[in-house]
Amino acid sequence: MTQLGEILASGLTTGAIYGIVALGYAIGFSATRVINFAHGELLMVAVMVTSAVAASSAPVVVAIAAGLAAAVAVAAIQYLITIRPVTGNPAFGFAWLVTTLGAAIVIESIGGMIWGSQSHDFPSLLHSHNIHIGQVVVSWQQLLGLGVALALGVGLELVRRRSRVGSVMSAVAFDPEMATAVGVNRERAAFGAFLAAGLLAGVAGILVAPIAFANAYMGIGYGIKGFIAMMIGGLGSLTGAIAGGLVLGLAEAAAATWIGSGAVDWFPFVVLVAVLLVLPSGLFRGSAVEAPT
Amino acid sequence: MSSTPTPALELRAVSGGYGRYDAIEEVSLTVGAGEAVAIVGANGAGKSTTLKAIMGLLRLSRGEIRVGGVTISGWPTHRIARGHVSYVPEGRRLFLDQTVEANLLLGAYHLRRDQEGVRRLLDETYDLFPRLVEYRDRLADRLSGGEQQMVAIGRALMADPTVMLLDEPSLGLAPLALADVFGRLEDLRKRGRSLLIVEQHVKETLRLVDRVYVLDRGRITLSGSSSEVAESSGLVAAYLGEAELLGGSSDLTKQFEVDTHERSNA
Amino acid sequence: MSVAALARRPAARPAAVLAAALILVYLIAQSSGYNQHLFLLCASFGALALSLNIASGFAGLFSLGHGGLFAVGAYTTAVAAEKAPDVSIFVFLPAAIVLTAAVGFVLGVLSLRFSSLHFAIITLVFAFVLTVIVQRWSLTGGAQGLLGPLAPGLPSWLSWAGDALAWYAFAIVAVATVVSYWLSRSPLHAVLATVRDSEPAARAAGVRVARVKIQTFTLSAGLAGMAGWLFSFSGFVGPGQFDWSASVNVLVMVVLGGIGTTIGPLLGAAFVELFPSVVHISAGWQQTLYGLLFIGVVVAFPPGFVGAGRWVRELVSRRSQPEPDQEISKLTDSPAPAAQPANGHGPNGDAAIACRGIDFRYGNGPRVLSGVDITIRPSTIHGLIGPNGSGKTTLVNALSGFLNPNAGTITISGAPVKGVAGRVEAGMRRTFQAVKVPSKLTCFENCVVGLYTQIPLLFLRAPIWPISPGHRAAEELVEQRCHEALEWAGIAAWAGRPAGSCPHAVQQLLQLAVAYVGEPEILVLDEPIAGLTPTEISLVAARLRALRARGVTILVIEHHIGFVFSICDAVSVLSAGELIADGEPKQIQQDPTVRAVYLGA
Repeated sequence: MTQLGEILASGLTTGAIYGIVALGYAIGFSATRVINFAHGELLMVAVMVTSAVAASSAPVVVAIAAGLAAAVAVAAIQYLITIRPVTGNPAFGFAWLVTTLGAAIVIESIGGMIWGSQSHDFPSLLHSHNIHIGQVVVSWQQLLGLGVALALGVGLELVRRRSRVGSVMSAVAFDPEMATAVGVNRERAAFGAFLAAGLLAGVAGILVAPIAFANAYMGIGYGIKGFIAMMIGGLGSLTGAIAGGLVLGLAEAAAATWIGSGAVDWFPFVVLVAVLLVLPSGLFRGSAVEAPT
Repeated sequence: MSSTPTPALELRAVSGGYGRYDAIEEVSLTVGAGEAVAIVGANGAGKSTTLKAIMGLLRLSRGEIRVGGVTISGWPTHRIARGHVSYVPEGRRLFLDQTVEANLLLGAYHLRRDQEGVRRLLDETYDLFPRLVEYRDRLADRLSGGEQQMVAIGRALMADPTVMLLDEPSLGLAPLALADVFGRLEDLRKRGRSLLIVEQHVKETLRLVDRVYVLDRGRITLSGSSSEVAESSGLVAAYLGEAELLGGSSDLTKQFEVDTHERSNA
Repeated sequence: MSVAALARRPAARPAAVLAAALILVYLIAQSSGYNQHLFLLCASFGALALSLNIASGFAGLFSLGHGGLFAVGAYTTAVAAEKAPDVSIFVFLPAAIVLTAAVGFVLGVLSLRFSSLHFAIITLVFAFVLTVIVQRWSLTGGAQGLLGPLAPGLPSWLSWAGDALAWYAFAIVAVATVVSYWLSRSPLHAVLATVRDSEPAARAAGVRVARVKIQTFTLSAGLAGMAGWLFSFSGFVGPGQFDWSASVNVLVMVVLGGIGTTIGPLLGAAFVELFPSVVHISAGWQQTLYGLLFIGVVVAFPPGFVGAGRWVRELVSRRSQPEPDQEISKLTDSPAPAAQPANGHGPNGDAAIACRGIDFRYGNGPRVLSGVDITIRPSTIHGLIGPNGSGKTTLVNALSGFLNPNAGTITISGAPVKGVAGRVEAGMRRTFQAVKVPSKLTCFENCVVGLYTQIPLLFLRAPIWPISPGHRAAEELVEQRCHEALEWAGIAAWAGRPAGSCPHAVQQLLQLAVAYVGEPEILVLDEPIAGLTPTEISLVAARLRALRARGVTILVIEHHIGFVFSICDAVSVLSAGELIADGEPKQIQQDPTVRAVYLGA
């Protein structure tokens, strides 16, 4: 029973982070039909900048703000260089795949040069404070992550359904050309979506770094997990992203407990392949009706 | 002293297309304020292409387009849409994952700062399309073809445009729905809206509009009032076979009569 | 004269290139171990890049897993060498190739279930999973990896040639280059390009698209395995060498060099491998530069190095291809040379195409077709008309196998036939309404695809094309029939021009030519004369009549009703998914329901 409780606790809290990363992928995708393979690196940027600013004895809040701002800034630059030029008339079908991968490489190697390959200190926020639920121990930091993920999942979905912004973004996802014909500036919408995605990546990073680590090479790991989470939840679906993240987290935790700690590395892929084979469009349907082929 | 009112829409020697070659060439037409004008012609003549050129959805190689006196050629689509031109595309293209009312409100996107004005436009639209009031919270996906067409026209109306472009509104509609749609368009015309309609359904269209342009292989071959054009052989030539059905004839059909004769002797 | 001679690409001079290469390799074989090691890396990655180019460049199957396939080849060799040190390492070459090809086969089979995006993701997942597996498996040496085998030396009588390693490297990359080159000069190249750019057109020509994709990816994987075998001689095989960035690096090589070309991937591989030795910068800057180059090539200059070379050459020679005469109809209106009449399926009275009770709707949408019954008699021209949106194209898609009706039966020459491929075998060819010709192929190459069914075992022969039995006969057939088809369609002047840069009318006629070249017995045409001038239209009409005289059955959708009435023996009229009239043109012309439909209620 405790085992189950522990799986739930660690699975949901880790999964929450994956979900937030996935949410960033989903927002970017529904606005542009592009999967930004450099998304994980934006998480890394936020974490490392926060860590660096905190190390200079600035207040934690300032450090976090700096980290988030950095992630958003890099997201903006990345959009302008690697996504906008190729969404119009790509040279070949997967131009965006190539350019976003290229961006991932560039950001990661620059990060590596600035911060080296060792892990750095990250301001611990609520990490050291734990609560006990039955036999299970969770830290407030972990619960915060879960809370934020659920809030974002519900909140953004509400925004999508009830607000004008949500309506516009759905329209852009559903029929981009018609959206322009009613006066929506598609590029500005896409840009905004990518800024939001960058912010979400940063938030995910800030939430997980106190528990995990702060390292210039962490981007790819979370990037992959978040990507898998989005595919599980359904390409482009917002609630799907959070749901997919939680499912992935739980699956990972279960595998770690029942198979072995090493399973954390490969089990997520098994889940991904299983989902793709059984439910190719994921658990939910995204608002961008078709994936680019 | 009277001054000629600015036309709602003017095309001056517009040429353009998709790839290297122009699908329409030297097209000039005008839609006066409060006029309903039609472009008719066979498939592939370039009717839809003309509307897409106006909306900035394809490249112009030559010529100028003006709406309400303002030159819009070369503008990006979203700018053209803002307050000047609205578009009812072929196949309606509603945002099917949203409600009827959401679709209508999206039509007024560029007016969003003036919520009062948008409400007024919404009321006016519901007034014109009473059935939509029933469906306002229904997903656009769940409507019939004719009902979707109403929503598409309503969405275009919500933009309070200088001119409305309609691309084959009759497409895929059952005769009853068709009559309904054309009735609504008649109402729009009576309320002083400027309309540019592209259609294959000649007879209905001629009844609705003031003037007609005939497009044949990318060029305007004929223009005039509906009655003038209805009787001319140019219209018949553009449609060719329509002549057969209308019981008329032309030089071109005579050529084919020769072939028919040949065949029956083979 | 080869197929390639009429393609735009100039043929290389093989003998000169070979001689230069041999000299280069000889020099390397005499030089330092360091140089040889570099050459080994260039050769292995060059071969790997070529293999990726075949899958992604030629066939459009974007793979992010070639790093993993490379690993399969390298590990197979290293493990085998460790476990069976007495067996010659050359025995493991076919083993590495076959094993990797098998993996590629599995991935290829998976690709069919998904869109290309999902396929790319699956290959990426494969690369990751493989890295994880080799890291944990003791057989593969775990995280430490394995020592690679030693390359066996040359026999003593060849010792003048220098070190063996350089020659093995050369042999491998030469094989990969030759296979890639020959493939690109065979008719398969046009077929793959069509599969990549215009899948419906490929299917309509009888290409079994699924099969071709699997075959291509399997071939690509086999070559990647071969490259992996070579790579194992670099001394060390470990998981760090094959992680996801390796897959991305290979893609960089292909794109940088020039995707779709033969020497492009080689240039790209050489650049990426030699760069660190020539330019001494830290690994971090190097990766950054690669990333930037990667982005830059795609954003700014997609054709890559090879494209840059061509661009410079064109600039220097200042000569572009002359515009051919615009008038299509200038060509003589001569009827095609008398070929045997089509084997009529006629005498026993079987309809060429018959359908009963066809219903169709998209998902839960409105019915697009309801209870359509049509009989098309052999050796006739049958017209299908109706207002826009009446379901004509949908019906034709069902009849030609591109769509499965929800209800109803379809028979071709009296028998039910499965799918598009079955219909092509039964002698059906079709054209499409929205012109779908692969734009990067020349008009001539487009026609080549139409002959797919007449070149048996094309896939097996293509990689060894110039030495495969019967290739001369095939090339002559292609040469002769494609020219004839282009002449027949009146567009022979445009044979060497890329289809995408031809006027719309030429593209329309090209579709006809591609259908004609397959010697169809049943021709299905969806709006074949849209956008043609009256003269062109009468030429097409004359051609269709001539075909009918030879026994071909023709079903044509058109809006141009004068055209339809002048050549059709029978006409069916669709309106709102229902057949409202069916009979001879004169009857239809006077039918009041038909008039009502066209003139509005």
